[in-house]
Amino acid sequence: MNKDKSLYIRFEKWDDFKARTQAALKARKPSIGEKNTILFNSVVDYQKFMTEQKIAILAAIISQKPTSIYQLAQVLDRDFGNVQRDCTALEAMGFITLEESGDTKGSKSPKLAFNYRRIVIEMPKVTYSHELGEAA
Amino acid sequence: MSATRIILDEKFAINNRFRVVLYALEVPVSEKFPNGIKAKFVLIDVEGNFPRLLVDNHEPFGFHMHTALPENKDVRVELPVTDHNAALALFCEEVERILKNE
Repeated sequence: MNKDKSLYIRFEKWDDFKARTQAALKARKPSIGEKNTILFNSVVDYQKFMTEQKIAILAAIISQKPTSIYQLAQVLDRDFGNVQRDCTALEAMGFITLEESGDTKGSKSPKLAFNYRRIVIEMPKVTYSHELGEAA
Repeated sequence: MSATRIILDEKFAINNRFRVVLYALEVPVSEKFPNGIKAKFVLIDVEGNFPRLLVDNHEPFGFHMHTALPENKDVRVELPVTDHNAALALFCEEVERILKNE
């Protein structure tokens, strides 16, 4: 059982991802993404995707356990269509799943992709320096 | 009897709108899969959670590209390759072309 209740956001450049996966396929050496990790091309792409409204959706799923997107929209006091659109995107990116709730309306019940309680964003390593000798 | 095993199972958010899903399974060499690889490479539009581009090599076709998704699943462009590495390279090229035109 995974006790680490974190979902990790990691970053890799598209060209690096391409090279890595193409090399793995060529060598037939398994390359399998970690289930608790979502890979983004850049920090900017992640920031554009993960709006405050989407964070609020994830938090509400944990705290309110809504049984439908309609109920989730009510909890958040947001328009149903907008919440549904955000949930669809969160599902497509791997943050949540939308499970058939089995009612006659065909409602979908939003659940976290796994039992995480925090999102850890692992920023790309940056080396930054000031050349003090040149400034003297 | 040869077992199957996963060679590639990777997902990658190429930007805030599209996600690439790469899946390849090593299978016993057969007429159906002469290279012993069953592959599926997908570009997903996350705004609707539907596939925008799909390359796979299921029966009765060789490697082919579904280029008219999500409207028409029956539009297939046969790829001039038999090798899964070349198919992945063509998929990546097409992904880049689509993103450039967005």
